[in-house]
Formats: sequence, structure tokens, C-alpha cells
Amino acid sequence: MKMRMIGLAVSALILGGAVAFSSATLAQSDDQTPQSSDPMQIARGAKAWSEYCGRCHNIRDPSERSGRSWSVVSKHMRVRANIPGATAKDIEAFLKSSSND
Amino acid sequence: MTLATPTFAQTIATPVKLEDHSERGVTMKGASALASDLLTRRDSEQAQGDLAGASSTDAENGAAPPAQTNDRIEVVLTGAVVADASYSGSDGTGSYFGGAQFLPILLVGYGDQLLVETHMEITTDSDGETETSLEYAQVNYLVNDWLTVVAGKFLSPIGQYQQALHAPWINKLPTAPAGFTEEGGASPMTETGLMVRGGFKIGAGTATYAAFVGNGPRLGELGPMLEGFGGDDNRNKAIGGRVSYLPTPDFEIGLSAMRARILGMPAMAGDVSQATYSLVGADFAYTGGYWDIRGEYLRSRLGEINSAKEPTDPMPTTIPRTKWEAWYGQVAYRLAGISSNKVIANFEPAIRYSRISVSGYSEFADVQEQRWSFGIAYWMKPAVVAKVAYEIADFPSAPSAKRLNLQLTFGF
Repeated sequence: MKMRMIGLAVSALILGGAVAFSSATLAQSDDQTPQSSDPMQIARGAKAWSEYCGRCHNIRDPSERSGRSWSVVSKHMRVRANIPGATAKDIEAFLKSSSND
Repeated sequence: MTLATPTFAQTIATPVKLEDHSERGVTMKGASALASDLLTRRDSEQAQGDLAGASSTDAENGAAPPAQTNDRIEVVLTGAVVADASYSGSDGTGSYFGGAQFLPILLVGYGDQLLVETHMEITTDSDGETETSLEYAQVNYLVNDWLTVVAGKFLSPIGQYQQALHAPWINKLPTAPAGFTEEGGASPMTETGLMVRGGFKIGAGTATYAAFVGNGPRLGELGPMLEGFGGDDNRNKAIGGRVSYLPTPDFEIGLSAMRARILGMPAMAGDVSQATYSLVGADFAYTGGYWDIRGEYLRSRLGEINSAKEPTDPMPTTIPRTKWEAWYGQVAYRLAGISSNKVIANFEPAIRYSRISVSGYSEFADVQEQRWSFGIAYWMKPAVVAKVAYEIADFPSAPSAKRLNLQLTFGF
């Protein structure tokens, strides 16, 4: 019974937190398509790409995929590796700038 | 006539290929030097006012593009194909080609904040049958820079091996560490429920977190089955998660914990009880230079419980309190650190010691093992690898086993 209450409480906390944060941040979200023409962002992304991606696996060649493909894959890795959003967007901008498009 | 040195902006506009930097050792670590080059050049040009001029020109032209929202659906297929072979002269199994595995991951992005991930495992067993399983299927809502909400069946965030290293195109060795496998292991594999996770900067370092609530494990014949079930047999939810800190990008230390109530396995007759299952763990990783050094420790316990030993038992049995301990330490080194030869540089030897011990209920203790693994990988591409490893496994109640494992993995 105690565990059930804890589970329900945690569920409520997760859902409540998500809703609260989403409503608070959606309007001002900076989760927008990276401006790949920004050389500063691309440079930051190149550095972060070498630092973050190699923590678990070999770094993948940016030319392996198209820019649109990297956009999805970089979000996948952002979630899996808990990469801060701003850093993930820098990496995405770099990968798209050097993609096979 | 002299050729002008390309500006940083011109350089950055040129697609980067890792092969262009093979003189750095035919290794992905060369990417770090590449990034440093780019940033150094940027700093230099900033000092010359090069970029400042470009920025003002852009502003005058109104070139700064407006923020765009992205509502496009994008579908990406990724994953791996794996072929295994094994030889043992000591345990009577001889040599065989293991079942091939097709491990597709389908990613569907919808705009900038929604991502669906599904991962299937399609394998052939020793009888020639094809087995299909769903490793995970999750919907991710990227709320902001440091919060993502996950719903569905997902990889357990406990520890580092399962969520970050178990993919065959990442794992340095052909096998998982002892105790970190599905059958009778001590490491949670998957969970079904809700999870929040993310990362954020703290000073010069980065902190990460993941917390979940899910249906939790069930009791099996080899111990708790630590996987995501599509239902809850006892209406008690499991909770758990992991926090980690990276003072530098190449060093991470993490702590994990999980707690659940487990229902005894039903017998033909008689009542079964519930018991508390708890787990704590710690892990670390150092990936500086050409080194990859990791370790992970998990300790879990299950209280006394009335349960069948197997589903056909006529009556439940009282199973005493049982404790599991599993850990591994692994060191790998990419030879690009000592040789610029394009062939030698792609080899990566690895050594791992892993162990699982069980105290309490004797029938759960059948999984006890300590294992040495000596392997070498040859990376043809960043995700295409041939691995060979010699393993010596010792069991408390069985003869030692020596085995040679080979694996070819194509990640895509």
C-alpha cells in the first residue's frame, strides 16, 4: 500500500511537473531549428560533437547522413545521453552543416 | 601570387569529413583537434574584426533569419546487424555460428519537441525459429533544454551499461558483463511507465538526471525479471533513477537507485506474498585521449517472500531474503594513440573483469559467475567492427568454461 502511494505520488509529480514546465516554456521555447548559418554555433557544435559523442561510442562522420536525418538522430542522442538542450542544438547545427546534403 | 588563407566562416561552410583528418591518427579522437582548430581560427578572426564585420554586414542586410518553427515529420531508420560465432573446447558446446540479429531502430521526429523511438530485436534461435521482441517503444516530449518527458517502454536508466553501452556497435567486447544480462542478471533492462530526464550545466561541468515510475519487475525462476512488463501484477509501482556529474566532458560518475514491491510467482494453489526489492548502484567512466575506462557496481536485495519456484508448483515456498551483487571493470585503448599506421590505429584491445554473486536462496545462486574477458576490436568504420574475445568463466558449482567469441557488427 505504501509503495502504491509512493508510485502514485511520483507519477503525479512527473505529470504535474511536465505540464507545468511545458506550459511555462512552450511560449518561450528556444527549441527551434538551429540556424546552421551561425558560424559560432557551428564551431561550438564541432567542439561539443567531439566531446559528447565520443563519451560512449566512436564519433560518426557527419557526411554519413543528410541534414534532416541528423536533426532526428541528434534529438535521439540528446534524450539518450542527457545532453543539455542548447549543446544538442549546437551539435545538430554542426552536423547539418557538414552533412551529405 | 599568394593564395588567401580561408576565413573561419569559409572553413566552417565546408563540409567536414573525418577522412580529411586521418593524419591525426585515423581516429574519431582527431575530431577533438579539428574542433579546436576551428575555434582557434574563430578566435583569431574575431581579434581581426573579421567576424565582427561580417556580423554587422549581416545585420545591415537584415540577414539574420527569423526563428522558424518546424512541424515536419521526419523518419529515420537506424540500428545494427550482428553475426556471432563461438568456440569452446571445455564446456562441450564446441563451435557454432550464433543466431544472427537484426536490430532496427525507427526514429520519428515531429517538429522540434516530439520524438518517437522504437527498437525491435529480430533474432534466430538455435532451432532456426525467428524471435521478435520489442526492446523499447517510447514517446519523448522535449519540454525545454533540461527536461524531457518519456512515456512507454524504455531502457532502464539504472547504471551506464544498459542505457549507453549494450548496443553491439558500441560494446568493445562481443558479450555483456556477467550479471548484466537478461537471464538472472542484476541489472534492470527496461521499464514500462513514465520517465523524466535531462542534463544541464553546473559551472564548468554537466549534471544529468533520470527518474522513472513504472510497472516494475516480476519474480521468475532465476530471480527478479528486471524488464518492462505491459501490465502490473501487484498494482505497486516501481520507482528509480540515476544522477550523474561530469566535471569534465571525459569523466562521469553516476549513482542509481530503484525500489519496488514484487509479487510471488503464483502456484497451483495457496497464497503468495509480496516483498520489497531495492537496488543501489554506482558507475564511472573515463574517456580521455584514446582510453576508455569504465566500472559499474550494483547491489540489490529481495525480502523474504512466499512464491512458487516454478509455475507448476502445487504450493508456494518460503524463499529467504536474497542479495545480489554485480560489478565490472573494463579498460580499452585505441592504438591510434601509439601508431599513425592506418591499420594498426583502428585496433582497440579491451580487458574486462565481471562478477555476479548471490547470497540467500540457493536456486537463485545458479547464476553466480566471475569472468575474465580479453578482446580486441578492429574498427573498419565508426560503427562497423569485428571483435574477437577469449573468456574464462568460473562458476561456484560447475567447471570453469573457456570460450572464444567472434562478432561482426554493422551499425547503420
